[in-house]
Amino acid sequence: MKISLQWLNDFVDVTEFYQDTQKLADLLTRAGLEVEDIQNKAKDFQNVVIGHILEKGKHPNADKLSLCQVEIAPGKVEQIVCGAQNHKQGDKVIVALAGAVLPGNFAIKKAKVRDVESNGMLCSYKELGLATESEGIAILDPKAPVGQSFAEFGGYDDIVFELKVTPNRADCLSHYGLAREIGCLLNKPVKNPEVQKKFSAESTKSKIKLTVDNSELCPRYCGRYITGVKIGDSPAWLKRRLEAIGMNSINNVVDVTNYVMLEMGQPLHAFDASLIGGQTIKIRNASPGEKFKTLKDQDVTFKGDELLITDSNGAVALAGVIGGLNSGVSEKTQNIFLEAANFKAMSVRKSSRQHGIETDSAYRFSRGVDPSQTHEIMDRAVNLILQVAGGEALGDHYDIYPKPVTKSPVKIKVQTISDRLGYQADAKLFEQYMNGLHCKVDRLNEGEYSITPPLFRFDLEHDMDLVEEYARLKGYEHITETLPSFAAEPAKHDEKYTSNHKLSLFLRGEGYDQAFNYAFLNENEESKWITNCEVFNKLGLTMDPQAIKLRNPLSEDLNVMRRSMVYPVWKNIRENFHAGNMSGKLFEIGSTFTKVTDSVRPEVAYKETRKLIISAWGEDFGLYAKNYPLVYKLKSTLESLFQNLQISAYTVAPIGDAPAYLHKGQWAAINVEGKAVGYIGSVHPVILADEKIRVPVCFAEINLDLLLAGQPRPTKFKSVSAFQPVDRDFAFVMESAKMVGDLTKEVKKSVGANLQSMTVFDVYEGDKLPAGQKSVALRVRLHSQDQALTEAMITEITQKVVTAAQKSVGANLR
Amino acid sequence: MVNQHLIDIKQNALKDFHSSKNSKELYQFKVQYLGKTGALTEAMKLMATLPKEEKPLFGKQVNEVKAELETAYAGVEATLQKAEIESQMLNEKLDLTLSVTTHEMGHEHPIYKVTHEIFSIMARLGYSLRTGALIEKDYYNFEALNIPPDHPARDMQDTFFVDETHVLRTHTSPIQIHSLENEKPPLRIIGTGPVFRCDSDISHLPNFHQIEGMCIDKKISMADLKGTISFFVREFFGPGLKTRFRPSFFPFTEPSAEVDCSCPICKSKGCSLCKQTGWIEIGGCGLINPKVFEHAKVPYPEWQGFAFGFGVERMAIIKYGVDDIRHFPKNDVRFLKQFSAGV
Repeated sequence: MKISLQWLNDFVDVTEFYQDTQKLADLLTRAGLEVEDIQNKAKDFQNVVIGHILEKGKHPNADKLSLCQVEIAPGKVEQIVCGAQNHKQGDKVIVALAGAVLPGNFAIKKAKVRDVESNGMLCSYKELGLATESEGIAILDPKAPVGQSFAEFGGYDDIVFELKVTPNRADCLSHYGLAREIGCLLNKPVKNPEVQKKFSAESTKSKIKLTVDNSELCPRYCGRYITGVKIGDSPAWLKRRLEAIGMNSINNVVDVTNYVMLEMGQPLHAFDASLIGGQTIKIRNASPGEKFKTLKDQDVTFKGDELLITDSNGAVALAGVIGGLNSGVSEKTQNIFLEAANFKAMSVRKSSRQHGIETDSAYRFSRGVDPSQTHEIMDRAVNLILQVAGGEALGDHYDIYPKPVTKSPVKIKVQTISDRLGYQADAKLFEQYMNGLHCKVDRLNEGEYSITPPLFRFDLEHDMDLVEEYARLKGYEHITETLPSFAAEPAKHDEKYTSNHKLSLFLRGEGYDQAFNYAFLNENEESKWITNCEVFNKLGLTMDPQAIKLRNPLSEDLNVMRRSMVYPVWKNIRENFHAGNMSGKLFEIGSTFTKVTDSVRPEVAYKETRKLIISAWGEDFGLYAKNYPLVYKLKSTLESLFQNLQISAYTVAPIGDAPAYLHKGQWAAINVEGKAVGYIGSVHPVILADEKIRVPVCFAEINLDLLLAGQPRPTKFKSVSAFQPVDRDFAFVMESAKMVGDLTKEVKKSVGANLQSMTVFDVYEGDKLPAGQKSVALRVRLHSQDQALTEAMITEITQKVVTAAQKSVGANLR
Repeated sequence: MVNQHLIDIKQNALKDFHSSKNSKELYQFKVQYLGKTGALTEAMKLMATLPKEEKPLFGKQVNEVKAELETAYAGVEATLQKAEIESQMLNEKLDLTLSVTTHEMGHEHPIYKVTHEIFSIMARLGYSLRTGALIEKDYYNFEALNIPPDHPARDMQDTFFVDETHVLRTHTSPIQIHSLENEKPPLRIIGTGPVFRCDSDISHLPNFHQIEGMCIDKKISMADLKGTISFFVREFFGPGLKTRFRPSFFPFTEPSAEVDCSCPICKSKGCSLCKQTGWIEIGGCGLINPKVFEHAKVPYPEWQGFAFGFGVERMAIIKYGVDDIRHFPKNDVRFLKQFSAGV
């Protein structure tokens, strides 16, 4: 919220801060009203003065430039070169002299322009930051006093504070409210605006018949009729104040309603009285489907729970939010009905949010407006309307306030303050603070009080609220630093977090960089990749056919929750590759989302499945770089991972259907201990070609909830054999189409307990073998826990291996 | 008198040993003279032809020659082998100024690196970590945290809605409520993970991360809160840093404070990061609002507590000087590779 220092000064003396604005900013920030910016136009316009062009000649060396002699102070003349064309001798202009710094950090210095001395610049409004476009330099009123600072002349000598007012401090959303707060902080008196109560004998009530149907949502409604106003421009003082805090002037009556709102925090609305149908106003709930056009020409169809101001024809205003196009003040308006009301915060906020209409009025009402001042503030506005638009205010006004709002007292012990702030609170000081905050203070006992906060402090309801007030007024810097003692046994960490972290350590050791992607993405883009969710479910990668949609996505690019980890990482790889990162490895651990449909509980629920994706693209480059099909690199990482997890029963084989984005010949389903947990594979060559990615890209995606169930497994010691192991090498010849994995699985099984390890060390296909055959060389390392293996035992095992190879894949010894 | 034949054998052998060019050749000579069919063994056979009285002397002389030759052999062998190893090493010389392909370690994403660092610091104070669901019930995200429907405090957090009763959590604070409901105080909890706000610009990501702490005990004060955060700030950013509290408003805490720490970049001298103020805003905190205890059915004031929260991206920006928040979700490996694990 913007606050003008001059305006503030109407109510509390802040003149001491004109020279030291930072001091006021610090005071407010320390009190919880964070000052985000200070605009000091006077400072911006330093060394910018009103000048008088005494002579306008031609620049001797340039046709398009003029050479002016400008009086910049009585009797003092400077020579200035000017590029504009719209000025003439005798004009009053704005001169930026040497030392001025114009917006955009444009410093004015004495300079030579085409060899002719120029001691300043004649300014346009654009150059002064006062307009986005302007033609030529600014020509001022001929009566403008030469030498006067432009800031003073233009009324730019105000200082404007930009405040961040937290939602609990509705009372500070006006100049008067902030003045009241400053009065409390500095212990200074606060002036109230003067309100004249002179009204004609004519009755408001005889002009307009008004009823409030829903006093729950409209606790108070005040209205007064004003006749004979003349709508026109606002006077300069009014315009200047509104403009200083960034509000456009509309007309004198509307400006007054805005002015009083910014001044007192009470939103007001002026109706053109002649446009109120039937001269009847009813404050009632909307009917569902009822229609309305706002004064900003927005069409609204009501849902039914909005509170409306209506006439005999329908809505004339959405209560507390915005007036209607049908009843607003225009230049033809002569009589007005001025509304000052109090509407329930939640109702106004709901109306405003439901229809997406945000106004200063709704902003204030939804945070809370003091119901006790409605009448006074209405008459403050009436005074100003009469002052700027003429007319006559009628007596016998409306003030419907059936249940005056009261505030419940709050009981508090000074000891509580001490306990919660960690330092000794003082009862006298507490009383002083509470009085300063306009609270009613009743001392119940020694150190025990009943405090009744003022109606404008919606945030003071409990003792802890008063503890905060004490801390705030005393200053948070008085809070000391201690560490709490802790009696309990520390709890366990979330297993998901710890396992993710260990997994991350492992994968980093394997050379993968960790990625973070948004949990939401573009539905269409993901759907291009995820064409058949059943394929993924069969692979253990839980997925719904439909992604979970966001009701209010930021954009269509981020409109659904992800179902798979693959697409965001694919995007990362694509961007990396096209940014020149020719190879890399990424992993991400994250959630994918499914809807839980439960016939027993109709309530909707959502499930998050933890998944891991590892990916690699490109080849290693450099001396001794070992390149082999990329997908095998991923597979070796997976096998190390399984080893880490003490998982030995797994298969990686192309069983079932591959996700559509994978290379048909380079993919496999991953099955761990009888459960499908994911897939591994290279990206489909057509996708690579479409994206102009000239290196292989591989993914493996795994359902971590499945893979990590029961992890970590307990480590159990097995005795280390005292006997030498024995290696036996085998070369088998088998059909090329058969899988080596089927061979090795059976070979392992056949060796049984005597197997220490088994390694495939060669696979050969070529001239030395018949077409369609391949040779697979295995080294089997045999051992025994309790004896040295004898030749006879080794022979027996060898026989078993050969038999198993024959039986499983029809392989024969070469 | 020594048998002339033995003298010849000895002299020839010594000559041959010393003339050997390498240990292999030397070994050939050893076989030639000292082997099973070598000259000396053959000479031994002459013994049979000698008169009985000469036999002992001859035998002794043969043994003396044998011993002498074996000693000579060992000496020459040692010299030759030493030279051979030297030359072998010269042949096997590798240029270690040459760098070959490296196996590069992967890197932790800075967001998780910062999260883990904060977690590790707080774990030393007895805090244990919780994560929680990303699609959260409206009740846990708002009402239980004293943010009723149609309350203006909801405006502070632009919310993504999934359906009537579910939102993408806008903060990690729902973790507090689940913990209060399911665990028994006293409690020290760190909650972390992704959070979502309908906001995206140069300084905001719609999906970012928070880390927050909650401490529940019999007697908890603002001083305990400030002490805890100060400890954290010194551990995380470095010793000597100061912590400042400013009054603020969060519906779930009362009193509430914004936390500033003295700028770790310029050491409070004023820089662009701290906008010349010497202070940097790092998060929010406060004593847990009694209404939150009420919602979670934890008896108050029997149990009291504090809570604090930080934006992880902001912490990473401050700690590493990252100039644009949009680097975090891009995953450019040139960015990621800057965050080494160290030891």
